Amino acid sequence: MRLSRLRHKKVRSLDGETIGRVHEVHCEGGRVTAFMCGPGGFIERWTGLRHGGRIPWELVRRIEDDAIIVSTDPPQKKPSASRSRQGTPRPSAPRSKR
Amino acid sequence: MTPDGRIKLVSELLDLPLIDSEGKYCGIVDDIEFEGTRELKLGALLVGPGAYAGRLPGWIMWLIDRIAGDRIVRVPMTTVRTITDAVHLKCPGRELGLHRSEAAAARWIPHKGAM
Amino acid sequence: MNPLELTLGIMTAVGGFVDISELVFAAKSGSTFGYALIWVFAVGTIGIIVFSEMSGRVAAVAKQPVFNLMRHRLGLKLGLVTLAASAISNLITCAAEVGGVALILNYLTGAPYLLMAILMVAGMIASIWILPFAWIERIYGLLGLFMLVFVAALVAIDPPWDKIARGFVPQVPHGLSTKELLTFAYFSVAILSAVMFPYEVYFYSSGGIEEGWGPKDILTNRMTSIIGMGLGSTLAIAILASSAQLFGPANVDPAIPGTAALESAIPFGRWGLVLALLGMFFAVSGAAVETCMANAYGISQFFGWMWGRHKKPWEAPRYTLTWIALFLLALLIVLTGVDVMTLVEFAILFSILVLPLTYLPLLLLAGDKKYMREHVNGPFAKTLGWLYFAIITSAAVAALPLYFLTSGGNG
Repeated sequence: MRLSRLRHKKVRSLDGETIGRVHEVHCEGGRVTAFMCGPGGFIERWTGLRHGGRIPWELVRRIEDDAIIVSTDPPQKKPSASRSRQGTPRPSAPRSKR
Repeated sequence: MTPDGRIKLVSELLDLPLIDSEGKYCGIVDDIEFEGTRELKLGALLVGPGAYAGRLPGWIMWLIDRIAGDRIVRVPMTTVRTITDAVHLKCPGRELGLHRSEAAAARWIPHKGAM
Repeated sequence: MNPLELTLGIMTAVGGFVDISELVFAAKSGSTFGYALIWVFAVGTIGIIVFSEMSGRVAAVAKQPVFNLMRHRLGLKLGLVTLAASAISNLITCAAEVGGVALILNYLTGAPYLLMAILMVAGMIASIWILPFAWIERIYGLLGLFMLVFVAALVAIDPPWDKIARGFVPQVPHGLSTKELLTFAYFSVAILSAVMFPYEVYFYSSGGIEEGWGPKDILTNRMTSIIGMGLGSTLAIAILASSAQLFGPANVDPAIPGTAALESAIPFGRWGLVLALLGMFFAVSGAAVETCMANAYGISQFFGWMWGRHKKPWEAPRYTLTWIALFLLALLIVLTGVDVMTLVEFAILFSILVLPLTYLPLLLLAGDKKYMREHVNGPFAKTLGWLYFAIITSAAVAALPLYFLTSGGNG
């Protein structure tokens, strides 16, 4: 799998609702932890600010040819502390620059 | 930052130049390869005109293939030292096959006359 | 700050300011509209100072050339569009400069124009091959100071200084017909384009990296940009003012570059003519070398190749083959027999269309704290930068319609 295949892919919920398109992928410790989807990819790239919604990788159910299917339910709580944000994959308010 | 740090792949890694341990430019990060299916891990940086596929329309890829070929060089993430305004490698680019095109072009250049 | 380095830098910027497009449009502006377009040269000069200073600062602080950073910011698709557009613009500009040099050599020696074009390209290729970067920049820039004869010629013909001073005030002459108004607008756009050619920023920024600039050179960069280019623009304004005084009243249309040399011949005779032609020869040759190298910089940096004339030609082979190929392509264009003035028109047109794509990434980079740290654009640079971006975008939108409506400024 390449970044070029993930990027600009549609993101849909299990109900079939289109949430947006992938425009950024976050990594930590060499692993993909989340991606950003929704409008504003061009703005984020040019300004470094976040726009659109952040979807933790744990919510991804499967990757199809034309879309990434995500669950809108939070994942099962794991015994060890999880660092990624839990929540519904809705476009959130813009966060500050890292 | 190091490859283990927090990184945004599109805005902080993709399309960065690669500089090897000898300070030589050896390409641009044209795409990024993941390992795994359920859990995606950073596997390698892809360098070369073949890595444009998936980023450019088909007719431009046809043109690029005619002009520059479809070569791809895989740069394993284990060879990356730091990622800042460029990707700095731990080893010389030739050990990864990154200087082949420069070497091919160098055969046309006479080694004389320059101050 | 090394005073000798600074002085050399300023003198190089002065001698290297004028190229074939500025030469042609300064003379034509003066003969057609008198002193009324001086303010456009001044506006364009401030613009190129703003963006040159930014590009030099980005090179000194980020230590990455503009095209590397541009590709990272724009991405592959839009970056390729920018690269292709600027490569075509620079190639046509280079062809115009090569044609201009060949024409000037034809005036100086009487030898055939096309033969002079071939010999000049061979000479320029040899000069870039043999000389290190600093020598290339200094030799062409310093020998371009022969152009100062135009300033001396202006003083010698005792022009109306009050009218020249008033020319710096933004104005549109009264009583122009609609066609003349459109031609005035076209000349304004053309002058802006000629003064703010994209290759100047690419060459200046890459040159900063060639010379190993760091944050300690930021003041040198600023002084070179402001003083060097400010003084350099006096050469172009002197050509315009002399043309207004000598050619305008006589209804002489300086349709060919050689006519501008008469501005020096009239007060100084044969020696004035020779010095003017020598100045034009070195200034335009320098511009040909800069456009070719700037084009090769852009292509090499975009694809991550080894680049730069601080290396020997065989240490950056793809870069070397690229600038040689570009020179040969420019020569091929000239050998088709296309008129130099036509090449100048196309160079101007392509350049203004590409300018917004060129300067926007630079503006964003110079304003990005991640790259620039404490040397990021302050409020003054930010304001000027965005103001000029609005100006060049408006000019880019107006350029094509004005070109067709005025038949390339010919009314």
